[in-house]
Amino acid sequence: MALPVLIHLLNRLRYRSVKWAAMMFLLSATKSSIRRARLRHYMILALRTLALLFLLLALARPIAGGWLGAVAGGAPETIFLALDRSASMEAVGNTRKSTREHALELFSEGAGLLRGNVRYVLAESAGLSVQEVQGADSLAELSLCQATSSAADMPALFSKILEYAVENRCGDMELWVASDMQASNWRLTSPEWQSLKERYGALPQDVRIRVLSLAPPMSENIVVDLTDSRRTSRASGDVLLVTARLERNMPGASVVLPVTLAVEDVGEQEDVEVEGASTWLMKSVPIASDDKAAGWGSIEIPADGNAMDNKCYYTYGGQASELSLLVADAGDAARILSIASAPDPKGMNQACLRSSPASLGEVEWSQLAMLVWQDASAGSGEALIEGFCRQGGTVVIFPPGRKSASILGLEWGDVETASGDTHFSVVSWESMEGPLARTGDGKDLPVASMSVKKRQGLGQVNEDLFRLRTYASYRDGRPFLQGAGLGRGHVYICTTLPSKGWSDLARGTVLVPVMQRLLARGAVRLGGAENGSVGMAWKASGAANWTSITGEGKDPSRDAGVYQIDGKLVALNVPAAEHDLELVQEDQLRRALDGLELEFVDSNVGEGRKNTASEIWPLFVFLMGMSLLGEALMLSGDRLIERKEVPDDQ
Amino acid sequence: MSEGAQRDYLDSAVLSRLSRLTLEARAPMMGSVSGIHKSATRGSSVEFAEYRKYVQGDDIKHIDWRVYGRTDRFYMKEFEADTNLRCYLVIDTSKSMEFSGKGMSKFEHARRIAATLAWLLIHQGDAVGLVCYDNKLVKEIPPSRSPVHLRNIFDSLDKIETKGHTDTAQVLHNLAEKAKQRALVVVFSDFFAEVDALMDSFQHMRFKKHDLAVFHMLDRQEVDFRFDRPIRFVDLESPYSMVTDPSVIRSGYVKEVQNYLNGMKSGSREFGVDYRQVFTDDNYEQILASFLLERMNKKPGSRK
Repeated sequence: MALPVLIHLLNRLRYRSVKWAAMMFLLSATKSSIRRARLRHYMILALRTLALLFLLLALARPIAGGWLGAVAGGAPETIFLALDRSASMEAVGNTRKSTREHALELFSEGAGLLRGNVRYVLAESAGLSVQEVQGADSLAELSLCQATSSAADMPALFSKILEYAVENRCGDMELWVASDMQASNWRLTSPEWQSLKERYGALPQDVRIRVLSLAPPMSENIVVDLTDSRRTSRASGDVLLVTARLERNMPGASVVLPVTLAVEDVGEQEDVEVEGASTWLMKSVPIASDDKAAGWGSIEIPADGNAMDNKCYYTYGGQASELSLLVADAGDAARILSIASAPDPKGMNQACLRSSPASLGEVEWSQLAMLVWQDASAGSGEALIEGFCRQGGTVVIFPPGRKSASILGLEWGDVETASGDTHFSVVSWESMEGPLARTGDGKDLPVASMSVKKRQGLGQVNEDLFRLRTYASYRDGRPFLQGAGLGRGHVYICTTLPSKGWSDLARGTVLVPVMQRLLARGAVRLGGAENGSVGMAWKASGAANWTSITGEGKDPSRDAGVYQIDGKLVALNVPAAEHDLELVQEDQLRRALDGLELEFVDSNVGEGRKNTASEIWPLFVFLMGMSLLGEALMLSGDRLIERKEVPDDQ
Repeated sequence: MSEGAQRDYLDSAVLSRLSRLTLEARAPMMGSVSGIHKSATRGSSVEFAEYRKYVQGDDIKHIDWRVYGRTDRFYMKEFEADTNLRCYLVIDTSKSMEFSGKGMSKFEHARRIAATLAWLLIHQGDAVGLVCYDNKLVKEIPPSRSPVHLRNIFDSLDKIETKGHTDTAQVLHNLAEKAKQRALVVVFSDFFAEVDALMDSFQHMRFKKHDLAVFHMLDRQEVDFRFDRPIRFVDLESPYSMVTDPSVIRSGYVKEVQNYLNGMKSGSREFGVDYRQVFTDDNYEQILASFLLERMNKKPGSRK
């Protein structure tokens, strides 16, 4: 780059002498234009330098723009292709290509730019499998890259990748993460990201994370989301009650939608007017009262922007009593928990039984829906509790108020008391699904208004048994409510008690809905039918036999449908969180992964815009031409001076 | 024509063509010899001008008897006295006149035009003198009509060398006072000086009733300033020099020159100076023909 400067200076030094008569004009012109002259001189030098620079850049034939511009360059040893296979990735735009398909194309194109020996490892969100692949060209043909009805657990995917990298001693690596950035999948508020950030940061090798943000195409899409299905006994006989919600991503004028409600394979179509953003659909179908068997069905709407959410499945079983068992110290907490478990025993066919750790052997576990535990360890009853949970029961554990061991390998830590007039506030919770989810009409539970004076957290967790997920946390990040799957059942741990001195949970506005939801969950196993979401939990349930009722070859970890598992019907649908349109923004992701080398490439999919980079050497040739033209104009610009002369009129 | 044949700055063919034209003064001249130019005074000369009443003592041979026959009154014919033109050819011989872009220098071009004019004047019976100057008078030959005088002028033009710096205004002021009678003063210079000072001297000349004609000698390069590389400009009239990149300052230079030339034109017009710009690559015959014809056509009652 010093060359044009040298040429320019040498040019200036080469001058000849001219004897000159009109010195007076020369002196005047020099005086008046010395500043302008200097500026012009520097501009000419700058334009010459730029022209040479652009020429060099054009000769280098660079790539720029979008995803490919980001990945072009030196290749690492290992590239992890992290693919979000959640149901929302099946949205299509004008190009009739889904977000997932577009992501695979971009992976392939990006890999095509890299030279050298690069190892490609595919990590997919549906099964959390991480395995090496032969290049990125044929990803679309792999079964591990096909569409699913599942959600994506991005923290878990990042964790799996990290484990693979450590186990396989990968060298310098890059994570190419393709996702539609759905907030429900990324769960950036989860404390898991802090741990991931530290663990990635501690790796000795260079790690770069390239996130390919594939914004979903803005095409009209209506989701059919099952809310509830159950058999109800009425005076006239048993009735199947099915409730679903039709949600529009582009609410506008009302539309009439043909909705097909099928009981098993027999369907009936009905026009439903969908107004605004969502419409509730409630159908009641008579069931022969002597028909005690569980059944299933589906609700379907016409195909639109995303084929994965146009059909939902439901099951219904026999009516059963919702029994819960309370094992707790005597006191206020036990009384409140008993009421919350069975607020209206006769009206709702519920009951809350009492027992003690020593009497667990006498319990009819097969008739229970939920175990509520607020005591020390179970001793010999431990195996019964675990078996109950694995069979589909729900176990809810409350702190004993003293540092002690608990059931299922848990140990309680110290009791903490908020100082003075302060209290522990719950500031974040899962509102889309889980025990603290919004109500059916979209209202939040009043979690934020809870007042917790005392809490007791866990000291130790048996991670071989289950991995806890936080459903709600206090301001200081400690969990208020945690849970985990254990077999086909679930374990939930609450870190405070509904008694005076501990919290105001006894008000019931949070406690009762939570306990009733957990009870309903546990009661499903008793009716011979269950509704759930597609996901890994089913694959990991340890069920010996599962059979797809609604199509061959389906997998409960990725495909929606009705399955039979251990004699029970299970309807699995797209998780409700997949319908949430909230997206993760770049600044949020950067905060969550602060300290890691992160590149965020925003890409728009499917609206006719192709997010591939292009060679931009023509741009540099054009810029070089402009620079030379500018230099020429600056050098010859004086020819454009208009001369004005006084006319001769003598 | 013999004088012209010996000088390389004279072309006999041009002289022959131009001799058909007459150099005329724009204003009446004063002179004791009858010539082709109108005299400022009325006298008993060849051409009848007007009548006046007879007064005792007038020469009766000028009485117009036809008028007497018609009017019974005696009237005297008044005649305009044709007299000779006195012309000073004033040539700037300072060092700046030595400049030559391509071809002829300003001085050589001025000499050619001045010499041709001198020849024409002598051959039409007018008196011509020569003044050469730089910052002072270098050579002065008073006006004369004699052909021998023409040789003196040409000899001086052959020998003169350009040197020194210019002070045109002072020389013109001195000449304005020195020339007692009205004269045609033709100045050949590049006039590289303050316009105001020059206009003062022009005004002085005009005040003294001289017919002032100015040939502003210029070279194209001095006006256009076209150079393709940095140049060290060495002043012809001083030891000063400067290095500059003409491409950088050209626009400013051209603007300065244009302002100056416009000032010269407008000032000359204001003071009734016959001003013309002459570039060294201009055809001098056309310049002179234009100069002569304009004067012939603009003069009232001039001979065709």
